Amino acid sequence: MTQVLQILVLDDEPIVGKRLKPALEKSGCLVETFQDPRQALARIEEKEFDIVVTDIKMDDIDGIQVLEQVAKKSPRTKVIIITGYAMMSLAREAMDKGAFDFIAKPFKPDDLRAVIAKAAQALGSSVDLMATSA
Amino acid sequence: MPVVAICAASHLPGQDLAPTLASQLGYAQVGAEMLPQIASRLQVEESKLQAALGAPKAWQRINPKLRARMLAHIKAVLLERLESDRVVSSGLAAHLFVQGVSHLCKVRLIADAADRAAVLAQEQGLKQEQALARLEALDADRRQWSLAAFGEDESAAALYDLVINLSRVEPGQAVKIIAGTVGSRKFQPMTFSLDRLRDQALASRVRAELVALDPEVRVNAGQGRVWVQTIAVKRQQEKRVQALKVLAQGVAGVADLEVQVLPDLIGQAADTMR
Repeated sequence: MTQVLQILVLDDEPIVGKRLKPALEKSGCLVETFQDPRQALARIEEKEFDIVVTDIKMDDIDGIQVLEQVAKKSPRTKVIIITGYAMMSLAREAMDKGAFDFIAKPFKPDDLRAVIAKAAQALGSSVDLMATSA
Repeated sequence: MPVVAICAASHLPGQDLAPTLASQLGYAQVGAEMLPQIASRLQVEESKLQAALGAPKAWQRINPKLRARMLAHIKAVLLERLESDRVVSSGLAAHLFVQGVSHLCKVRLIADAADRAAVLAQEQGLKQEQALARLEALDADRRQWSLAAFGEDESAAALYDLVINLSRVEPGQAVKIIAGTVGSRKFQPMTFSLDRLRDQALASRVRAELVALDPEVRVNAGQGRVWVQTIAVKRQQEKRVQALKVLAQGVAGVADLEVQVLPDLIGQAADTMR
């Protein structure tokens, strides 16, 4: 893998991408943000990301479908689920379908950065995301 | 790692599975051996605590304030232990009060009534019919206790991730089934479930500190923030809030604290009648 982490962030609330993009780019990641799951899936078809961060509840396509699609297209990609509707059954379903982690909103950018650092480590990356955390 | 809470029906045939499971998983086993620690915190005799757990009559005889303290301290001690990971818990009701933690696998062990009655009959020198009747009464008592103490019917299968009948499944096979389930992806810890457990552990630690002052106090926690809700008559409100704040702020892990006091309408009405 490249030394720069390629991350896709998908959330239908624009504020999420707006906040996460600069926070993760500060750590040296390349971040693409999407609000529309269809556009995100189209991009996932084109490009192999290291990490996909996705919301669960979205119109038309939900985060579990995105997770399934990513798992099919690129099994090495780590998928991190973020949701404001965190429930035990949903968390277990996501983990069962291969999610790397499941985080309840609200969270601080540093919380996500810590999870991304773990995902990067699992991918064999030497990028130290926590070195630049606030 | 995932954690396991086992709730075994009484008088099961064969040996206790919890130690075998713990050993196979490389986990610690926690249960009744934590009672001395809890009894010492509560400054009650261990035998009294032991008798109260699972026996509704003994439970009802205990002063309500002490009951509230007992439950608060059991929760605090056990949640602290579960938080430390790699644990098989049995006999301390974790299955009844730990809620929504996806990496906690709740297991219920049962057996056919005839097999359990045979164990009881041998243990107490009873005839099989007598043992069956005794068993039915014991089960009803246990259900009543779990409802009274935690508002949950311990015998309800819906409370558990796995229910295993040891009259139909060999103990060794049961251990394999539990270990296999715990090892599956569904039960792997994640940020959400670790946070849930941490929040519940913190809320329980705080509540254990406050419960002597207010047995009805409600405590919630999230990401180091703690919300305390108490009920007091108007003239006592300020004093109560201050006292709760002092105690809660001394608990490790409390980063931020909010104490909400609701008017004790019944107490206030009683005050006006003095």
